[in-house]
Amino acid sequence: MRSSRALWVVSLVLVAVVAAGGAAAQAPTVKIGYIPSDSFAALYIMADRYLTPAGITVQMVRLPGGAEITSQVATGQLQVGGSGMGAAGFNAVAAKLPIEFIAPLHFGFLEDYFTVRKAAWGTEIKRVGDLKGRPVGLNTRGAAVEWMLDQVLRRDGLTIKDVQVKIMPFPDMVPALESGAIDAGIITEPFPTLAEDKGVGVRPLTKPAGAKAIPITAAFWNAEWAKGNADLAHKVMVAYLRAVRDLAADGGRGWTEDRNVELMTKYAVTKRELVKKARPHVADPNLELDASTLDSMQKLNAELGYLKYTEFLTADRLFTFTYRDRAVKELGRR
Amino acid sequence: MTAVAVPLGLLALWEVLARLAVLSPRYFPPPSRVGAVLVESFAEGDLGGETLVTLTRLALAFALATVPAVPLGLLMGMARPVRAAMEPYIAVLFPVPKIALLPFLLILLGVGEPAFVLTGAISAFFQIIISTLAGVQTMDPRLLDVGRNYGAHGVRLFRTVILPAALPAIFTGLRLGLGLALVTIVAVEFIAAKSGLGHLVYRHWQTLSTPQMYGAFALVGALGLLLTRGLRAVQARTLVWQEDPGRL
Amino acid sequence: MLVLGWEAAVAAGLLREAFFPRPSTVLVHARRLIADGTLLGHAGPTLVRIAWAFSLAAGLGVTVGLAMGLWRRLREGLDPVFAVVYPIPSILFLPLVSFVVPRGEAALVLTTAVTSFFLIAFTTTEGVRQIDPLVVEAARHYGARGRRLFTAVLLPGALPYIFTGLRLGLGYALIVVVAVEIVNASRGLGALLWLSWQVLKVEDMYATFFVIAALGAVLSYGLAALRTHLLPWAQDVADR
Repeated sequence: MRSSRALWVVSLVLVAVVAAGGAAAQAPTVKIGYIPSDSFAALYIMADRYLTPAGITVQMVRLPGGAEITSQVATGQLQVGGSGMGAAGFNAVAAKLPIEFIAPLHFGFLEDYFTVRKAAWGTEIKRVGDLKGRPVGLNTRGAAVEWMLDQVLRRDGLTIKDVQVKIMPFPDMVPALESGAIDAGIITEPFPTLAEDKGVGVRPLTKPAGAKAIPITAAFWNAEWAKGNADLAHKVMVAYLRAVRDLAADGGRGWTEDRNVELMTKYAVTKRELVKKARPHVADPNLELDASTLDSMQKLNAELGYLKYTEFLTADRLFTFTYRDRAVKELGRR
Repeated sequence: MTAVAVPLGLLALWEVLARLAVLSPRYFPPPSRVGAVLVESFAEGDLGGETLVTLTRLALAFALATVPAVPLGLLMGMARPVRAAMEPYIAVLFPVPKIALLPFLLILLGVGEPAFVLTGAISAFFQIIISTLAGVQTMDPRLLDVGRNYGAHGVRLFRTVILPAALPAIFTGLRLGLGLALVTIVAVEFIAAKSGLGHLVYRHWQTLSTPQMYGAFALVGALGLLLTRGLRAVQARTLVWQEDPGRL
Repeated sequence: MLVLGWEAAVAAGLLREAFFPRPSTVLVHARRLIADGTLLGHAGPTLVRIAWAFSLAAGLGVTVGLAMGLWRRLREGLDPVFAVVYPIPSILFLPLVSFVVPRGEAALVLTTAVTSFFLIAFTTTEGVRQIDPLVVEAARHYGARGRRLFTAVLLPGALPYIFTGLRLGLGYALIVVVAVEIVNASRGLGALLWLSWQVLKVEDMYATFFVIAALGAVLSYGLAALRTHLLPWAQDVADR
């Protein structure tokens, strides 16, 4: 019967496409998804300095945002990824997708991210509250940056719903500040430094003494891949730990060390001097994080209607720390 | 002569108004500036590369759509069970904005060329298959009788009677399909891609680099015009017996 | 049949449920979204935008189309402008429109209206031009002039084409409004679809998609049915 045959062909094609997606995951390469920014430095160092020389083939895949990286790791198109902690990740874990958060990636201070248009600061905008109704740049929705903006706004009585959010990639925020397309943004290094250099942006908030850095991004991988390649996964974890320690070395001076800056320049595609001038991020040499931020993030995400579950995930539920623990044990605590 | 007069006149008006700052030069830079930036971007920047990216996606999408669409359309026209099986799906999916499929393709295929090209291909596919089917269905049934009378059957009937009769409609379908593929791909680039002309328009819009934005915009328009007019000329030339290939 | 196959495949574990939720799950989800008002809250703005855009495009389009059909000078003057602007993907007009009209609903509606306007104007012009000159001749013979000629001969003669144009225009309006909402709106079916993707609320993605698809079907076939009702004498003018 011709009609059913035509249908079978169509169905087979569909299955083949899906299978091809799955088959790609079985290849021996470790594909790592990243967003081009300094925050992902640990991934760059892990790949170039510790995995490749050990004979592990690595493919760095540049993607625009956390949702893309999260979904591609969940489907197995990528093995490892990093992203700001946000709804996509939370929902993926809640939906029991094969994605495991394994460790924090970087920490930072809101004050280092919050950048205001220089031309407007001191005139139209004298305080955070003056941003009401104005355009503010974020690189994506439902991710850590949205929470960070909300946190900054709350300090002066506003919430994220009070501003006009404009989504654009980090590099684009610098010319956007210049032209006035946005009045402020949550921008990751080295771009705020670039904005300051060019005289188009200013970071008006100062860190209170003794402030603790907040976990912003996290690293994750495909759980099925990790289970099926336990040895390889462990090697990746150890390499990751080493990379993070390279950055956290010397009280955080690793962030401006030449050999690390080299790699940041390579992947984040920015100038070396800029990276060295940039305010350093923070990394934890034992890959530990304070869980209270996670609650706050989930709360905002729930308020904005991004979460598909109601009971918040605890750190233990969200992260799978067994690999980290094993790696820390092997290399010893710092 | 009048064909170019009006557009040129409008451009001249724009130039004057922009220079006089009646039109804000930041939002509406004078065409001369846009032109200069355009040339510069081609010569020194990689506008050429971006254009190529869009064209490549378009070519792939079009090929991907045409190869299954034409045979399937013909098959649907000639074999009733095939048409009966496929018609419901086509009827349901045709009016759906294909851009709505993008997020699903992004999940399935990841953010990259396959998803972009496939979205464009799906757009064109439906148009081509429907036009092809129409070509077979609306052909003069007497042609079939005549053909059969002269002893043509099966493949021969197909090759010498059915296919030529349906060709004008198929060609129109291809032309419309190409246009649709371009529209879809540029839209997809605007929304989700990091390269291509559509993305350039988006990026320059977000950063308010207006001369570059208009440049990319004009390029897309030129591309669309060239393709549709070009294909129409080809159609008129190769299918000489058809009266009017249609102005769209 | 596809639906059943899908349901079975997910149940059998062939398709990963988190990315390919069962149709039954999607249905339940859709019902919940309707119940808590989310779906309607987003469908509303989309429908309103389409309504405005289509009214604008139809009103202006038919008027300009008729004018172009009747006055050759006008047609020759506007034709090149149309030819250049028409092939441009509608979504690219959003930046331009947003420069002229402040951000917000107006910009979205205008952008949605652009291509539909051209489509409707164009088919209307064709509709007028293809009227058999003999018919017009005959009508003039019987004393029909000016407005009478228009309402009794020209308009009915062009109506099938106009209707096809309206139908295409409406379909296009939906396509553009979804794209525009993805880019620039916080409410609307397109916005909901894209946001659900960004936060990986997969069931919502599917539910929204089906609503969009249903809308497309209703608009397309609804108008076709209306045409059969109002213009039963007209053959279906094949999409050109």
